[in-house]
Amino acid sequence: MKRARRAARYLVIYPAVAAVTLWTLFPVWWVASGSIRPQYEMVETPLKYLPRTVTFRSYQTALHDHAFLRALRNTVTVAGLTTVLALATGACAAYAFARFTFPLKRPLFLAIFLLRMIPAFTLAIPLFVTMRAYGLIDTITALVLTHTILVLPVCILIMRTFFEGLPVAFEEAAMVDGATRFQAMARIVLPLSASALVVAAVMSMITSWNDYLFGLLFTLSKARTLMVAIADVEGVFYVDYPLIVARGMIGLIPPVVAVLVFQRYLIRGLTSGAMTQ
Amino acid sequence: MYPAGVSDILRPRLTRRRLHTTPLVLLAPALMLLVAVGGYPLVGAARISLLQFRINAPERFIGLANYARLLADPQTLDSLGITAVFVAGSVTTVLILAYLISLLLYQEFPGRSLVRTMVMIPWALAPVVNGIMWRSLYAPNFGPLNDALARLGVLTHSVNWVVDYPVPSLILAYVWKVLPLPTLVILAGLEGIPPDLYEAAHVDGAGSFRRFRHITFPLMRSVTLLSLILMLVDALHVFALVDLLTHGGPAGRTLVLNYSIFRTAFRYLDFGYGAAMAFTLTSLILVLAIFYLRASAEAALAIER
Repeated sequence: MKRARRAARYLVIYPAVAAVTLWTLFPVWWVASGSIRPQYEMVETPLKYLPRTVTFRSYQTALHDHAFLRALRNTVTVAGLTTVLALATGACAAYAFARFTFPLKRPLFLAIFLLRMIPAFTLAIPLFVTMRAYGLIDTITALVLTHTILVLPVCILIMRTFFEGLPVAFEEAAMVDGATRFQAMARIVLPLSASALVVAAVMSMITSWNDYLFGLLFTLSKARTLMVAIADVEGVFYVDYPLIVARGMIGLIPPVVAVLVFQRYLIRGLTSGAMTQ
Repeated sequence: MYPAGVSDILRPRLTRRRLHTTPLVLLAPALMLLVAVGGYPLVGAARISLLQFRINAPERFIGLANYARLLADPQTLDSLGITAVFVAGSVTTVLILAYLISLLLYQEFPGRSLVRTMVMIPWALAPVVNGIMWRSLYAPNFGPLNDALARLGVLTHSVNWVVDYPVPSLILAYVWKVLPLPTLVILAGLEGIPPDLYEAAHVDGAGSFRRFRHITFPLMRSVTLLSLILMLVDALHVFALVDLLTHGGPAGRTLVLNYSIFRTAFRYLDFGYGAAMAFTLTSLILVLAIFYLRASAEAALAIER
């Protein structure tokens, strides 16, 4: 009886799981398989869903393109610097919010939080004017600064929530032993907060890596980012389809791998990051 | 909140000592960044919206003329309408799908954690990559969507989705990408409901539909509201996908507000008017943000319950 009921339950659950899997993975499968097939296989009727010939020619072409490689390098640099800057400044600010009382604390926290809801163009228009005036257009600096603003509020939120959950007793013990507040933070709080730091770092890296808007507006060629390069398919679409999706795959793989590796931490961090107090 | 004992005796001394300098030093770097790259441009946008400001032309103060122009411009109403359809369509679809998927992932079955990881994938994808992906899925001649529908006998000829159904095409591609986050938030909400409530209802003879209707649904109100507002704000920010799939076209049929701002400011280089549009959208979003703050306080309680 019980067994029959369980079997009946699975009869509902597994088709639903299959549907969710198809919905989630088919689009990714389609571009992934498209990137490793020759062009002629993509324009056959009826359509083939499994590649018959596997070739990495498109990846080779993409990675031999100097402009594309430079874009890839730029993105790696920007994502790395953004993460370091956001984590360093964010951790300090989050610690201040978690452990101190100071005037205007609550309004300040709300202001930081609201900043992440402001449409990027509202900031991009005046920033473009200012950066143009200071010669920052088409520089890595412009991108690192704007990306940091994009991720800093979330970083502060995630780390503050985590710091608040840590007992103060450890820091107090260290300070009784003569450590300064900064030493207590650096040597005790931060090592204990590794999981929160990982979530903040992965989120910062992905956000910066995936950004298109600021890359498009603030760069021309020298500091052009990967996403701007990938999006630049005008006219290429019917010319070399596998190359376009191979370039897309190069943009897709790092963040997806990061999510798969850190998913356990991320799921918790993301749901609590959606909340604020 | 803090463990009792020694810490309670020490805390006043530790937290009050140098009260004014330590938090300030800690906050300074982040605040400097936030003011320079966030607060200052925000004020700058307000200023620019009062100017006639085109790149490479002298700027001139024109008061609220940009806002007056915005009210008189027929494109404004069009964009508002398109945005409303896009936002309503995508938010409704996401909410329904997120509920269905999170109810599925709430069940216990072998392989559940694998499926939970898998549904995260679209979240990691860049909007640009998502755009490239859906371009190829929608492709008129050799796209799998046309192919699948033809094989099922739904279509007899191939459809150019992005041209013939631009807004629904955008919505579907957008929904695919943003679905994971609301799903996870709703799932966290579901798991926050104490199981003894269901057991009690079960003992009292309530069927699964009535348990959903009288326990799940009311307790999930705040979490649902929270993800709803998050989704609304997110959908108002849509940009890269539009740029990749439709460029606002065909014939302006997908000119959502955010894309309209982009075109005005960075294609027609009319910064003053663009800033006025951006500032209007910002006010709209800040109103939503106030609701969000209230909803999130409630939702956090619901999840921690």
